[in-house]
Amino acid sequence: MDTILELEHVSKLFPGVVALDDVSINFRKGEVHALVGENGAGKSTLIKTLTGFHNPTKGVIRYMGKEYTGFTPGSAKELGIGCIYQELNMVKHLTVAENIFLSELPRKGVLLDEKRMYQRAQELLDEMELAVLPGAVVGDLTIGYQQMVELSKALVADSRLIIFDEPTAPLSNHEVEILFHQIEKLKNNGITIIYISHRLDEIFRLADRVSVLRDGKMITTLNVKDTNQDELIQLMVGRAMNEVYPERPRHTGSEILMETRGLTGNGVQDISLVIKKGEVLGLGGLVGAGRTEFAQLLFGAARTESGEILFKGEKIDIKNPNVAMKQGIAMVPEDRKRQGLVLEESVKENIALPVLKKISSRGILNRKKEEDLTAYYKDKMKIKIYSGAQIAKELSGGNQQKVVLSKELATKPELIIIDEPTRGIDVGAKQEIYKLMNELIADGMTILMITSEMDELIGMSDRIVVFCEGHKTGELVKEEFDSERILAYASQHKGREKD
Amino acid sequence: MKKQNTASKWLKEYGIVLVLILEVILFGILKPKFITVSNFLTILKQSSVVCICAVGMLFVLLTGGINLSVGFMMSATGMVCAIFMVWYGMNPVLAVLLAMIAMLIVGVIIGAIVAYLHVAPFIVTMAFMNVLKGFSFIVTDGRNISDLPDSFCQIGLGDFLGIPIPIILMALALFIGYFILRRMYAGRYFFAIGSNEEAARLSGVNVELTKILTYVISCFFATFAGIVMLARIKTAAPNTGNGYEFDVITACVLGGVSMTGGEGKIYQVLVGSVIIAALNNGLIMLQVSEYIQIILKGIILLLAVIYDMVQRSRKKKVVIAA
Repeated sequence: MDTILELEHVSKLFPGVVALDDVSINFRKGEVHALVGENGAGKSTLIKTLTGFHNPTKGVIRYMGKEYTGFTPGSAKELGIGCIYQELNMVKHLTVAENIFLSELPRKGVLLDEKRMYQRAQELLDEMELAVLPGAVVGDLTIGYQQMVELSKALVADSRLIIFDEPTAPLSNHEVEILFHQIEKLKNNGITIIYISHRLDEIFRLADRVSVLRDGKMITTLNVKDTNQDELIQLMVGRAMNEVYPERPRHTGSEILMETRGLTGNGVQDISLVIKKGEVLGLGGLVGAGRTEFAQLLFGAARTESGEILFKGEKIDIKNPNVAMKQGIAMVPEDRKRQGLVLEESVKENIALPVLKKISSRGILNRKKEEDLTAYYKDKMKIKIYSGAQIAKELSGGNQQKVVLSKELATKPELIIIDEPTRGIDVGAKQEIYKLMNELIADGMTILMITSEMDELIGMSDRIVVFCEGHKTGELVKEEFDSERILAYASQHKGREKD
Repeated sequence: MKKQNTASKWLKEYGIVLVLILEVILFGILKPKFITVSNFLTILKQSSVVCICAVGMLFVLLTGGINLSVGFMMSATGMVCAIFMVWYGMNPVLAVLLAMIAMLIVGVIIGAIVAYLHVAPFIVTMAFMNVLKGFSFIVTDGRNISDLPDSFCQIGLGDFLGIPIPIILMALALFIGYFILRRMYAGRYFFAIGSNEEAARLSGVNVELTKILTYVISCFFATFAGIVMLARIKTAAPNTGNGYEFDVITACVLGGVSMTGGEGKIYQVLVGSVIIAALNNGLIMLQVSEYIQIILKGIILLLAVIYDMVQRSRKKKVVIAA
């Protein structure tokens, strides 16, 4: 088979992060080529390079015999590289036909040729054997059909290569079948498919070849029929547990700090678990497994539908973050730029934000106390700033994370929920965060940690609870920690059979 | 590299002061009479009503909202005060207090609709602009009320130690604004919500209540401005506040307050108001027609907003590059 697309020694550097490290890979015409890897392995960067949203720092892309140093989103589309993203790019208020032809509406002079547009859309939908009316409003369709509309958009653009980024994540079983049928058809028409999925069973069903990425590096490409799930998991997780994780005395106590019973709401169902005082409880699972959503319930950032939360043995109703903070629960959110920090404001103002009332008397802010607070945490957390007046967005990712941690610690919590403690920060800073977490435990605090990085989960947790699709699917004590077992729990999707 | 940065940073921060100075010099060259102490006092006096009202608008803009109802709230305040004082012979202090309470209630209603029902502030306040406009006309059937008590008119026409009272009141309004924003802890909430509502909410800030508060504050200052305006022109007319919301928003944006929230300082409100007042004053001296003045003000608002947006997109690029 001919090669349609080839990457040669492609690297992509971001400040402090090597997202792609000397990646060479080739895609053949008419094959289904799966890409697998853990979160942060470089899959997204690779896709964005192919669709023109990133340009490689080094290396060349060879596409249909021509060499490119990079694409633009426009040129990638023109060259026939289409992508079905996880978040669909649909105009929800327009009809199916309008969406399909949005970039090249059929015209009659200056007028829209509506008749031809609907006719062509109908032909296309017939060809795809889809029972959707071209006049239907896209927002009314199920996600699965919206995805199909997105696909027909790519077909209209004459795509030679279509990338699917986790396409089955939001789909029901029935919709998955429709999707797979379409992919088979595309393949038979000589269109190349790059298929990204966490669900390994799908890869064995669909793909011809599979490539494994890890830490931005290309590990290997295998023929699907020559490999098996276990081998793929091993290749994905790969690395030996390194020395990144500082030692911490083993957690021994059995006192329970928090307990949830049948907690349901915000996309999670029937979660019962305990958090013991003084431990690091790790929540493992794939992106979208409902871990963050669960944490939001505990912090009052979302409403509980049913079930109960017990904190220090008492049933509590956490209506909003304020209530949570008063109880002694703090949360370091997943996205520090969007949720954790007010980026345009100073470090001082950020740290003081949750405790402004406490450091004020009769409504008037005590600036001295604010300065002291900042100075204290600057010291304790080793935040590298020259002044508390420094604007938060000027700091590095690691320092920003320390500011968010300080801010939460200022509320003097007993339980601190840390969602993705080290996302997007470099290895050195990671270790500092780990050390700080250990110090917090030594100070008598309890940590609920959510992480998508397997070795972080194993390296930092005292116990692990695994989520999958809004359900708790597994629980492991330290002796049982095993990445393959965790990954297996994380991808057994019980919930999907329900729909 | 750092030094260059400070110069350009300084220019970015205080460039608008430079604009004011250039404006004064330009008018001074065209009309030497422009640069006199008495004319400067006149300009400040003329800017007082807009400036007082703009202090309140700053709070709303900081949280990413807008309040279009302030112009006719000034009218309505004037009408209510005048009716109480002239028709019922009420004590001016009591009349002012009653008018203020009524307008603060309007502020609570506006704020509650914006915060809890998530209706766009633009629409809510436009609706209230019309309600207040209709109210102002209906109470007297569209007639003016004059013959206000002299004691009341002192607010607009008197002076204290040689400084006109409107200027003193303007300083007071600026100080109150500064005090709430920079000294009280609640001041931080306005900035935090405007820059990152989600982070503020997760930090335990009561976002809804704070938003309501901004509209109440804005209505407080609009009422304040309405009273000064009434005392300055000694007549309550239903249409006097017409278009003031425009001047007030222009003053804020021109001064450097961001329309997208999170950024703005009290001194910027003052500078923006004075630039507009100086422009009005200078153009009148040059005998430029009132209609051309309106066109010029429109263009200035547009330029100020464009400048704000250009700054913003440039900042974004920097963040991505960093």
